[in-house]
Amino acid sequence: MKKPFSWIRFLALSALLFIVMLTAVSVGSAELSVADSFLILLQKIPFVGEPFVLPEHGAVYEKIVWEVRMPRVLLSALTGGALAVVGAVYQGIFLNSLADPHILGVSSGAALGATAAMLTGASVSFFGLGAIGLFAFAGALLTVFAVYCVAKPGRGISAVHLLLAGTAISTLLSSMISLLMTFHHEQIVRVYLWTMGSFSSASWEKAAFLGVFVLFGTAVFWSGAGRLNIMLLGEEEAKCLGVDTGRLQRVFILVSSVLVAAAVSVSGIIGFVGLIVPHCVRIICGPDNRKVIPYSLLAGAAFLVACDTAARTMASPTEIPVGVVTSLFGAPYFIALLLKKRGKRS
Amino acid sequence: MTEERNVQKIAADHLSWKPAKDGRPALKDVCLMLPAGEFYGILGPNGAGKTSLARQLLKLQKPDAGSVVFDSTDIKQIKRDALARRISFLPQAFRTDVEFSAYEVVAMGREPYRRRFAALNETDLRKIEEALAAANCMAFRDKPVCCLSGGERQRVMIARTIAQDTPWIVLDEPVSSLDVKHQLDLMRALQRLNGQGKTIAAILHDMNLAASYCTKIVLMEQGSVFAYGPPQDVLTKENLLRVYGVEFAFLEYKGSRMPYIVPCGPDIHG
Repeated sequence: MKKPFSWIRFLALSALLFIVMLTAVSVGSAELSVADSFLILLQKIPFVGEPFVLPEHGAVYEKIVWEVRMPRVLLSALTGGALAVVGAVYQGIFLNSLADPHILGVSSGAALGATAAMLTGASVSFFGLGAIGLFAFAGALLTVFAVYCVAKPGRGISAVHLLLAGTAISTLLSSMISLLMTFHHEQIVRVYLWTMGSFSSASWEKAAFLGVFVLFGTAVFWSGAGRLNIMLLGEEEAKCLGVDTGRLQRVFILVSSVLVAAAVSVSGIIGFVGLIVPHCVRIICGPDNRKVIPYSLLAGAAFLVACDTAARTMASPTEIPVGVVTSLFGAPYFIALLLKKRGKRS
Repeated sequence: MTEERNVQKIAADHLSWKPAKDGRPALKDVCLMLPAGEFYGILGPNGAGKTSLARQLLKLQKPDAGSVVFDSTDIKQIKRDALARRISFLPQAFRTDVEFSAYEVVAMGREPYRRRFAALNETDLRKIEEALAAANCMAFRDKPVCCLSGGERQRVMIARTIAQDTPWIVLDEPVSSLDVKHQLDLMRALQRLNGQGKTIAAILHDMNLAASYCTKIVLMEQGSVFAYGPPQDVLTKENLLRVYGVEFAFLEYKGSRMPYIVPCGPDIHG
């Protein structure tokens, strides 16, 4: 606690994320060298970029890097960061190591919204989000609101009530989706693929949309990280140490829900990142949330960029759903970390 | 810090509270005036309302009726962080899966004084060291709390309470999982803090510890204060029989300030 946060580690992790992203924009059906991608990106920086001259076929590569791959890489980074940060926060606030960003039913709400958009064929668009994204966003927010209303019996919110209400409403919504599917066979594949998550429709607008939420959310979480640490001693201890636990929970749950809703509406439901990344970070750097939150942001981003790159290149031209890749690679790594930690203890 | 943190007296004013709507009240119209500077021992059988009373003093529970008053301010008017600079609390039980080190947990005791994002300052660091030493935690200061024994963990939590450096300290069964030596060490440390001007209120089950260290005893029974005063006036044969339903013998022995109180009865002493 003497040294709550080290800028060197943070910068090192940021550099790692940058390298992962740079590699990701270079990989694909048109292979670029990492150096070329770097040049193309450098050249895009206002004012300093002009002296850099593009290599051969520059214009084509520039289009691929800047208009196709970069938005996708950025969007997957933001989504990964958002999910991991919310996972870290939920695990702290619910004092439950199994909590993940989808635990309050946000994702089921988003899925129902997306399904409704696909079935009705609604066409609206706002800030880079199409009908599916907008319906998903609205569905997610409505669900959290419903969960909150059910769980709040008047005075104060109880974590257990929230989790139970989240599970119940989530189950209810999932069965509604299944019911809708039964009557609309032709859309099953589309809905199913959406729920497994994908970044194939990424755009700069979507990245900007999510980026605003990620910036704001992380700032809120980080400013409350010290108090979240104290919550780990227990709610009453935190109160006796001057923490307004009710307010902290309300603010964190509200901001988390909106952040997850935004992430899910642009990417679909991607599991595992929010559950596992914070745990991996904790195993490596300890339980202090002033580290866990910023490191989860960067690690979650790097992890999801790597997974999405694998998803679009491994079986090219077929895209594997990114949610499949996160579990396929994440689970064994996590199991290895757990075993290693267990070995250290005994 | 220009804020006036001292509290000259804490009063419970017709305080009542029921844990469940149709249940037995845990506190029944409790009126109690606690002036600063004493070392209070709160005694009474299980379910007498000791912990309920302590929780009221920390604003952990809304009373059904009555109020807790700090000097002349109703506790409802005092914000949590301001309250945490006036009174600290050691609960009876705490989470055992805390992965922070003992040092980190004790440092959390400084939270009420910290501005957001500020690092620990010199005063904080000094108070943390003093608290670790006072509660005998030096040997395991850098170990994660979840890896400590029950007694060690309890000492860490005591150190955290001391680091909070409040003029009032409330402890719920602070000696419950300590061995004899650490019980005495703790009582002496609390006595020392009391000598430095802090007011201590400890819920205790050991009458002899209470009689030797406390300056005032609050004896509770079924949600009410049964007797209040100096140990020799409150801890009498008649009171103890009435409250606990157990006969006690008071053994005088050479050189002791207080008689030694032991339960007796046909099954124990024939």
